[in-house]
Amino acid sequence: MDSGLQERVRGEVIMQINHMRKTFGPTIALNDVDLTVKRGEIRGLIGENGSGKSTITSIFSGMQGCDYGEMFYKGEPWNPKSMKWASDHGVGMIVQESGTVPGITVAENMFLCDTDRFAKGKLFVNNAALMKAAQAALDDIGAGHIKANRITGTLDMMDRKLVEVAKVWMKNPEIIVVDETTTSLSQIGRDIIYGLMTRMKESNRSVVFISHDLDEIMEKCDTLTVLRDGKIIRTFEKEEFDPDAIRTSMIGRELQGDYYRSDWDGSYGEKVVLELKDVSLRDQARNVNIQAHEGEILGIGGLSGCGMHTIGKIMYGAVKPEKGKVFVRGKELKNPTQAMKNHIGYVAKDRDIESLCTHASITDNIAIGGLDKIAVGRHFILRKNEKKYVKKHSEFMKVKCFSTSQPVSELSGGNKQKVVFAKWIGRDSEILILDCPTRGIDIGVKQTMYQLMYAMKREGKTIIMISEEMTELMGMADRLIIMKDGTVTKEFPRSQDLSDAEIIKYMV
Amino acid sequence: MAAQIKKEAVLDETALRKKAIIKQRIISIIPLIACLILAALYLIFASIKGYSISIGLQTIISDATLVALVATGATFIFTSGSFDLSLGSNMLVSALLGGLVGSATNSLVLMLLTSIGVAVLLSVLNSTLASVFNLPVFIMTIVMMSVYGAVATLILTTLGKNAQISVPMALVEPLNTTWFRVILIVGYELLCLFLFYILKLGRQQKFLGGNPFCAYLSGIKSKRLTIISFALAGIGIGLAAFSMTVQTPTLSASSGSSVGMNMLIALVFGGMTMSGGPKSKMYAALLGAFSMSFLDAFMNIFVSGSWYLQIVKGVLFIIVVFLINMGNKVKLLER
Repeated sequence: MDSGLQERVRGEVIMQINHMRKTFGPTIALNDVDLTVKRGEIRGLIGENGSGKSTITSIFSGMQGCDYGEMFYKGEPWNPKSMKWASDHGVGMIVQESGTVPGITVAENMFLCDTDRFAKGKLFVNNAALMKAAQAALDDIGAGHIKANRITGTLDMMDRKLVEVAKVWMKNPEIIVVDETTTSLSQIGRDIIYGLMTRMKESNRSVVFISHDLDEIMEKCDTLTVLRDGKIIRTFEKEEFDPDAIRTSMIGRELQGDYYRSDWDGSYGEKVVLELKDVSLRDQARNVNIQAHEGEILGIGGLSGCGMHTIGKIMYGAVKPEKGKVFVRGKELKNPTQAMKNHIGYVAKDRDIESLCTHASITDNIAIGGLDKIAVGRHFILRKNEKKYVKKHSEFMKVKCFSTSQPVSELSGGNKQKVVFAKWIGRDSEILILDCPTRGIDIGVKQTMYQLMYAMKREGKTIIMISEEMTELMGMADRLIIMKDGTVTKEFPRSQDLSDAEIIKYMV
Repeated sequence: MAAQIKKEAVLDETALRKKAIIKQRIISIIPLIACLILAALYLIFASIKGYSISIGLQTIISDATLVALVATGATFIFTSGSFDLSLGSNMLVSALLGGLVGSATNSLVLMLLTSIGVAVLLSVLNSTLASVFNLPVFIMTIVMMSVYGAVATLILTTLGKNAQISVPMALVEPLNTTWFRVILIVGYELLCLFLFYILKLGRQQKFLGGNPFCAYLSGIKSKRLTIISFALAGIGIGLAAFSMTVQTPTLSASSGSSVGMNMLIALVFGGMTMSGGPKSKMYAALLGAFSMSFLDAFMNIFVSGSWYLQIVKGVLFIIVVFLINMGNKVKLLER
């Protein structure tokens, strides 16, 4: 193609949405939204949780329908019948949460609805050909370390996500939607996605990239559309990118106060409140010794499979180590019930599976952590007391809802996380284990969480913050422990001079 | 044109919320409305056809009580995410042993206590064995359904006459009244409502049924709670066994054979979710049991033959479960 033609093709509109509206019960997810994406463009979508980013792209990708509005793809009316249909016609989406079936092989996941391609007669499937094609697709995206014959459930979160990426990529899409995918990936996984995005752009195809990471989205995108409360607020061209202006558009006001804590004083109390002694568990923990102190924010960082998430569960008594013990204020800890009695709270990484009962109401989810606080005479729960307790803590956390009887499943990710925090803060947790507390959360809620942690530290409480985000660990922790392959490789005190590069040396 | 499209696309959130709340409230009272409609249909057609309303209502209360006692207890099990298929055979064994003790001692109190004691014991045995062998409880109840059935046959053939156990009519006659049945079900229902809505127990059971892993991380002892749920269900089974013996003092292998299925239908008709969890309702069993009994009575006006009733109930069961499932489908995209 000559350069003139290439330039013309590059400017063509490939995706167009007019006046789109979508409601979920009483929640307005999209309200009169227009969006246009051109060929060769990487379009970023950013906004607070619940602003409608995933909804708009999921409608275009065939996951669900809209209530009102029209869509066009390559100039033609576009009404996808399903995600598979959309994918077959050139629109692929990598979803935010898990999109693979755990009990089948990687290859079967990748060709879940396409096994006819490998039919051997009417009844059988040519398994060798299926494996070969799947492995080729994995190799093509640079994820050859994943074997096509592995059972998907045995892969870690990052590799499962890469299987989804390969599945979308092998259909040779014209548009790819990358929905908040990079937060579940380590740098290696992120680089694979970024590489694919660049290949899309170079071949005049388009990417819609959703992320809460402002630095990442500003670096990778050509244009950036900000959504708030189901409406398009503003679209920024590359030359207009300004972090403060984007943040202000996102939250509708200027971000006041500190984002992380402002001090570089890494001091904390002397008293050890939680201790792991010689803890071992398969490849997740190898003779790990960690002490957490009163009034300390202890950061634990590493790559996603380094064992730090398991360490969080061991600290809470939810997972029993093969060797070694956990002590809380000198007493051995054996299970979550004991942990709660000792005022320990645990915010799990997998919010919807481990931290919340999503079909239950906000009230149910907050109150369940504080039943002993609400109960009259140990066992009696008066509705009046329960309501008062929930109201107090949901208001403190500023949970955005129209009623505390609203099911948690109707809340955005950030508001769900606020409910989890309210559950543990409500019961006066003195030690809070937070596993990836800001995963998939927008900037405004993140700031709230950071400031809350800092306030708790100043009250003498202990925060154990497990995270894959080095910047937040450096920004918040008094002491930072780095893990690799189940062992503690390095410990850093709080310092303004600490850099990502220095930490990464001990992670990889 | 464009302006018109724009106007239609912009929405009023408050109006939407009001609409959703109203919709939610209407859905929640559908089982009650259905029960009232069935009651009205029965009363109207029974009057037109000249049936005795008084006798009809006595039969309805009698049938509904038996099912409601079992189903109300079973609500504890369902709420915490478990399932028990052995309720019917448990009730038969409890009734047989209660009947034997009642006959031997001529004491209604001992008969009642034996029925309840055996039912609680068998129910707890299900959950304890499941806990020991680390099996899902409902798997254990499938096994125990056969075991209890065999035990009932053994009792009938070794201790009964002509494979029947008879309790003296004179002993049970004073309690064979509608008022006794009403007092029994109201008393048990109030106890269950209290346990479910006023104590921590109910909230913990709902949470356990909604998300067992999250419940574990929230400090809920799932095994202990499951055993308590089964024990509470056992009380209902024992009361039902006693009530059945009072009503029909001659017990055989077929006594109460339809209770297991009827209990499930009653729960579904009353608006209970089969998957348990936070949307469980303790009063669903009572409401459903009466809906079912009114339906039975209504259809009996026009046709005779229990096979016909079973088919109609089966079809309605499937329709209601289908509608509940449609309503429970995740409508909101995770964001």
